[in-house]
Amino acid sequence: MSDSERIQADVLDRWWDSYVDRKPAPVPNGQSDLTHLIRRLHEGTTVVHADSVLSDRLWQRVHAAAAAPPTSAPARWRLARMRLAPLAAVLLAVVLLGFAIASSATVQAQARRLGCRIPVFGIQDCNGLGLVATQPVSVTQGDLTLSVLYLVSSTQQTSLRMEVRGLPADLSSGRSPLDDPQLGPEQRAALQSTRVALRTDLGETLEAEPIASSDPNGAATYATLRALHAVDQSVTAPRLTTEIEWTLPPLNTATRSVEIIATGLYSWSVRVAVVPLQQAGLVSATENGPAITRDGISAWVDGVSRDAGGLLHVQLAGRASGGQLVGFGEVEPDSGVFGRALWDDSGQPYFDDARRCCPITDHTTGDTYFQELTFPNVPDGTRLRMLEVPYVMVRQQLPPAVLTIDLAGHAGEPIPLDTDLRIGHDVLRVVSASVTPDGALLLELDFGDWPNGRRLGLPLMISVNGQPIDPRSVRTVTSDLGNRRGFARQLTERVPLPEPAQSQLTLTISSPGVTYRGPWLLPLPATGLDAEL
Amino acid sequence: MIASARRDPSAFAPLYEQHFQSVYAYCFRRLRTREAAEDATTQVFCQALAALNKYEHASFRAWLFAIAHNVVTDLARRQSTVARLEPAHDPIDTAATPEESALERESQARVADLLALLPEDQRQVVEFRLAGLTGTEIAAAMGRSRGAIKMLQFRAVRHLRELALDSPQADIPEAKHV
Repeated sequence: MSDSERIQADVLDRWWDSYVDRKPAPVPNGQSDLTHLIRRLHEGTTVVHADSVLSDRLWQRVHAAAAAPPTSAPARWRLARMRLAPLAAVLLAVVLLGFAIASSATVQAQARRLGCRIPVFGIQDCNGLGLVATQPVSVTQGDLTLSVLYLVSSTQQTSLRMEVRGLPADLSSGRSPLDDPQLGPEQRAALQSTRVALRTDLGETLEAEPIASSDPNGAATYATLRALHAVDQSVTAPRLTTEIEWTLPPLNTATRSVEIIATGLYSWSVRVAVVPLQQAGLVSATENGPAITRDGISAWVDGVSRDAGGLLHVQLAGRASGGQLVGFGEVEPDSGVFGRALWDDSGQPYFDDARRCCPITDHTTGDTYFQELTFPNVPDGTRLRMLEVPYVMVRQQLPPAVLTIDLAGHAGEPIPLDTDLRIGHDVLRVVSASVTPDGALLLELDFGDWPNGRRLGLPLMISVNGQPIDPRSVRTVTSDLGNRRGFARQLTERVPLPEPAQSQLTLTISSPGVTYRGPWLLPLPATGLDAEL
Repeated sequence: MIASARRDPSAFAPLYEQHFQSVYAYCFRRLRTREAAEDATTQVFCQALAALNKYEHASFRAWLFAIAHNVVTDLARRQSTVARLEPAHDPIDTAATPEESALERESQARVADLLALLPEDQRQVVEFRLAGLTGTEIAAAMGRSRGAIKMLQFRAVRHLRELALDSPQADIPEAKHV
């Protein structure tokens, strides 16, 4: 790097320091593009606000992990591993846990959570056809202990999570294994080349690629090296624990036992029993509720579960025949109009906590959209009947409408238009237009009162004289529903006009999609839920 | 405060309160799911609490983010297999319309995707900057010299500019004006 670049780097660094300190210094000469980019990075990264409820909940986990032996949460396990966890005690705990799974309602609930809310994976398809290992199993060879943490097979895939304990840490870097836990190169290579096969009692064999050659993107089988942890940092030869997760095709539902065979430097095998979820005393939380279909849109409750913290998770799913479903209506309990609510059989609603605290968790698989809701205040034993969703949003490619506005002789005053624009199957009325002193166009719009139970979505996609306007730069300046402009009938949109100013504007206007008004009343899955929830 | 927390975990609470928000936000940006961010945040503070006796950094925040970096790196590694299943998103301004929320989530995802194209050390500097760390804190957190951090971030920003220019899809979104 040249001296000139070093100086630029130094100047940029000082500017960035001032920027994060909220006292931005003048933009350094010749670096306006870089500082602009940095501003956009900060602005494009929404600040995540975690509320006090979440803060308190996580503090309880931290404090409990520090104060007591671990029970179930992964973080507690890991803290315990770091602190010591003598091998014999751990093995004993694993065995005891195995017995406990068969007898303890609490552990059964946790096992159900593993089966239906796999950590990181969220609610997965583990319906009545699913299989689950009934107890953890461990084997020991020399210094190494290998444990099958869980084996779950749904109709879509089999997930096998294993733990390898007792791996020697690499101390060559001179850093503490706690700060930078690393396997030695030989150990890492051995681990990464380990192959796993599942041999079932039906004579079928499923094989997974080793980590080193796994392709998680689209492959049916792959492996992932999970968290790596120091077990004991106080001894001269610290040992590490790691977890590997293997993903394989689903097991035959008639399978009742699986021999897990790992080959490589660590060659071992262990047999685990698997049983259908229902026979294991586990209630399937992901059995679908019946779908409701309307306007070419099908929506259903795809799964319900309760986590260890008592939070109720409801997964919604849906697809649209005429576009891509992109969301289920947000919560708005205060307005009395909109809200996602669970209703129990006594007519009591429970609202989800998306508005209060939580980011949206959603994904699209194929043509089906999934969105997870969480409900914090549903008491145990509540007999839930249905979920109310106020609206669904469908993204569609809609043909634009064209509007020409002659500004000549109307400087600074509204131009009455009263023009209906047809965009797809919907009509948008442009009531008037005017140009502000700073050169922006104000469009007074009327979306109508949800004609046919639907309306065009915002933001409008607008081009002016053939030049596209960034939708994010189009602002709403008035709305008859204030903040709830997404459902307002009358809006005034401020559209920045490109330079140079023109006396005649040709606007092409479209919408990213359509919002369908509800309420959508989605029945909850019936099997076993009343008893569970 | 740190000396007290070494003796009594309850005394760690003020440090937790002070740094919880920024650590959670950092974890969420890196991992992009609420569940993973909660798990990571818990691990960060658990590890910090467990290793408090070894704390000897000049800056507690820098030390904490060094731990956070290790935690999210581990979790991100395992999460890479499921990203296609569950691309979660930052919280959205509730004033936004449903469509805008969807678009905004896509914009945030583009920022994350763009950062993912950087070499790991450059990305790490930018992520720490977005978490609000100063250059000095970043140097401490990454165990690098101050000069090295300056060079890294300069290269990172120039790299981002090139990426944004090369790929319209990777363009960085403008700020939302709602």
